[in-house]
Amino acid sequence: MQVEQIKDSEDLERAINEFSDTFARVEGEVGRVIVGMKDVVRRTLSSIFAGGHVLLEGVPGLGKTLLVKSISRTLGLSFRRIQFTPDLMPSDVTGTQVLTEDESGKRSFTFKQGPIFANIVLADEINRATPKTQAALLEAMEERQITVLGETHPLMAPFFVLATQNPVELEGTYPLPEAQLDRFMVKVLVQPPTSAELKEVLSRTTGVSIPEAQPVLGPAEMTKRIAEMKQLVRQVVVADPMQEVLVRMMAALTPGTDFATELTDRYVRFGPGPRGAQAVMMLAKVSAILDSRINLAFEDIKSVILPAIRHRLILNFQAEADNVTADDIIEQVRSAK
Amino acid sequence: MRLESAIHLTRARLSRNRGLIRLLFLLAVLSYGAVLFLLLWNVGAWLSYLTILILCVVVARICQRKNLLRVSTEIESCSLLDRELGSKDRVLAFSDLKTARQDPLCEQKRRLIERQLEPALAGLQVSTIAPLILEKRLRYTLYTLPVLWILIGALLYRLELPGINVSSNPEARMLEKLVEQNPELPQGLKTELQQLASAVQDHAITDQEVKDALQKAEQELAKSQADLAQATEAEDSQEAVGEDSAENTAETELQQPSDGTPAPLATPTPEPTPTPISQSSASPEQQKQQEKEQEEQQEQKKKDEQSKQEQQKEKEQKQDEQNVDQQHTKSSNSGKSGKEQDKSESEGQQGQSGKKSDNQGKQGDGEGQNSSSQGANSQGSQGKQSEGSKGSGDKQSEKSGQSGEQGKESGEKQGQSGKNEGKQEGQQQGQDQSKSQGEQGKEGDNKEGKQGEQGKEGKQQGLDQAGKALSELKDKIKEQEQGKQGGEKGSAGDKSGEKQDQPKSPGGSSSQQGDSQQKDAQEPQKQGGAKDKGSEDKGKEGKEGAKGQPNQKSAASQSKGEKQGDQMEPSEELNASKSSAGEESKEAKRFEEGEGKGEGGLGDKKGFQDTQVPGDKEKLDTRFTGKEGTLGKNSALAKFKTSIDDVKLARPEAVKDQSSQPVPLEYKDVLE
Repeated sequence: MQVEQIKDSEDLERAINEFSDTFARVEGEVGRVIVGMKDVVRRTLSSIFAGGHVLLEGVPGLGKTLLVKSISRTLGLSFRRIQFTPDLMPSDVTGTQVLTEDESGKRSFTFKQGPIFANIVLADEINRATPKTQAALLEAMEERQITVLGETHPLMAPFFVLATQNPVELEGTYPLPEAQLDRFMVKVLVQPPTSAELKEVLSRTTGVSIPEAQPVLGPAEMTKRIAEMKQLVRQVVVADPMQEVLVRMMAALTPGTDFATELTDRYVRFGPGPRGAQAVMMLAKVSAILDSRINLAFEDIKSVILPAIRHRLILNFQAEADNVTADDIIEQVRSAK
Repeated sequence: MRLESAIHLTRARLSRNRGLIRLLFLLAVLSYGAVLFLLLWNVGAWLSYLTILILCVVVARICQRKNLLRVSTEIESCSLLDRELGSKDRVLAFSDLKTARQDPLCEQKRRLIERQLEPALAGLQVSTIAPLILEKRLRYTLYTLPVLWILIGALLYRLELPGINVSSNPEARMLEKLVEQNPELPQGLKTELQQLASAVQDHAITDQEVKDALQKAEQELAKSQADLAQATEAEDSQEAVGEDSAENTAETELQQPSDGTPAPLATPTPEPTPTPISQSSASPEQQKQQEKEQEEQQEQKKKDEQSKQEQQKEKEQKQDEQNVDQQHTKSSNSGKSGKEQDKSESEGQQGQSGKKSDNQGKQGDGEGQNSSSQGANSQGSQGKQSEGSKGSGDKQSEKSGQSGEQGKESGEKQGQSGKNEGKQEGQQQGQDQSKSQGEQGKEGDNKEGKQGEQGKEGKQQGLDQAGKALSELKDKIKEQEQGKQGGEKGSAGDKSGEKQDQPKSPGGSSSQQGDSQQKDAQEPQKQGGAKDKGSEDKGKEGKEGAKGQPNQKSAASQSKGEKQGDQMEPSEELNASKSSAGEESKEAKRFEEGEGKGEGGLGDKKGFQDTQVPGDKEKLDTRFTGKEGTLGKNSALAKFKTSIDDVKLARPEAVKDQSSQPVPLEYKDVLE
């Protein structure tokens, strides 16, 4: 249901229920393929319905790529995969002008779209490409458009980048710059499956039939539904005290501020920017709607702050030496009353 | 119950609870404050007020910390409701939506939230949500309040505050009654009694002190009454006494000089004895009774006067002790002034004794007493005359004031010659005046009566002036004492400074060493092998002398050192300052960047100061190394200042610190 069609509280409630229903259906369909990783799936889908990009980090073989493929298949949207390598050029991502000859023999430059022109783009092992190629994604992720040889091309809507990176094999990698990291709404850490999950994975993937995700809705309908859901997310009421809480939490993670904790002052070099607070707010709103509420609660903020902020905290060498991670610092702030 | 009304009810409940807590807190604070106030009132009123002030500050701080003065807000009540209902901040959002009128879906959202909370609001009781919860400390404090109130009552019953009873002290009340019941008292005495009463009221004075003061006041009262009685009697007798008395007095005055016994100088002029009204008219028994009464009164007066004299002597002695320094400085002038003062005293005393035909000159009062005992006929006239003369004499003597009294002592101690002269002159003048005044006494009885009245007034004035002078003297004494104390402290400080400075000062050291040199000087002389090193500095000479190298120069240096030591003693402070300055110059202060503004440092001016090196000493003048650089170019071949052969080439050594550096984190994996 579109926001404009909401006339009374019943309509609003119905819209919220539709949102939750759609989300649950997609989640369930992905869950048919992906064993476990419920939190990862939920965070990824929340980010998609909030209009953000997702960075999945985990060792090889955990099913990151499969997760992204399953989501894209479930959503029924166009999907492209870019395997990032050191020799990948920006034009390989965005596309380039190609000299073509028409039937009449007339030659002209035409723009050949790159793999970025899709609803869901999987940037596999994004940290293996050079910074130049990584930078080709900056405009696309933020502006939803690309510029090639001075010509701007808008991307498809909805547009989501689901990137993966391997935290172990660091040789021949180029760590993502802070500007690139900041453009991802969440950074989800993919954990190895438990014994039961692994058993289930084995039984599902090594049997005779391999389950495949099916689209919940058709491509057009899904595109429309996603747009409506993104509109509804923005309708969530955020009371002034809740905003105050979020601002104080951001300040607590920024060194040198009045609310900064001891850990922050000691280990954090740069705190989260405004984009981080925006990401937290949007994810919290999705969380509120999934709880059938039209208002944001403190619990929502607490539940989403960790994946939304962890990649935005830039720690110093002292933190690395003391084996202190961003999650430790955020957890301290989150658990504070 | 609707959500809106639930919010309002909760808010009202919170306000009421907070008001109650505030009230109870204030009650407890006031109770404790009252107890403190009353307990400390006996120690000092200022302490009580100070305690109340401190208490107010503490209360303000506590109110600020505990948010007792804050009014309960809607957000507060919404949060409370959210917490109690478990509504996940729905009530807060509901309250916030009231102000968000720009949102087109505002009402729908409010209704949705209200609908979602309806089941929870159905069984809601605000009293259970916002109960009155007292802090543990406040609760325990409230338990003690009844005890405090009982204590306050007991303190109020025992303590008599100034606002409740003005004259709570019985002694003060007695004094006030005394003043009220005796309106005929002199004004000065009244004011003193009132001051005493107020002092007794304000300050804790012991009963003994109050009794002493009361006794003194009663004595003064009795004395003043006796004076008044004497004055009335004298006025009555003035009418009765005729010309015969004048003649009798003249005869007796002519007979008295044959005694020639001079009275002591210090004895003041006693009050003239009141004469009986008339011997001829009164019976002998009455006369005897009157005489007895008169004698008793005289004795009392004498005793009072003696006590006064003793007090005055004590005061004068104190003044003398304080004025010794002043008298030393003014010794030359004080001799003269002593003479003059003796003269004035003798003149005053002559005036008193002149009419009594006294050859003693200065002791008119004592002779007055003698004359009163000699004959009753002459007493009447003598009384009048003596009163008159006393009045004038007191005037003269009391006008002289401080200088006269001080001059007495200084004149007695320093100017004895002047005193003798004054005595002689006084005797002569007394003889002359006694004759002349004896004649005048016959003629001017009426005039002398008037003079007697004037004498009373003059006496009072003189007493007032003397009191003022005494108070001024007391102030001066205090100032002098303070000055002495300050001077002693200053001298002590100087002495200590000298003691500290002595080892630093070269003069002092040389003098000490010089003393030690005299003892040690003989041993090196016996050895005879010591060389005379000689020294330029006197301090060094002293040291050399102390080391034991005696010769002529060292002896001279010793003597110099001794002399210097003697000379330096008064100027040790200068030496100390010099020595301290020397230490400062050795340990010059280092200024950091931005420091030492105005003390020689750069201050806020960060950077460098340009300095010019004198060109004459420069081997290469930089001014000529530009385009014409050839002028400064050394065309000669370079030469080694030290040949390489002379230098033993050392093998370079590795720095251990650098070799043991920790491997950076980024290279740790590579190295491993």
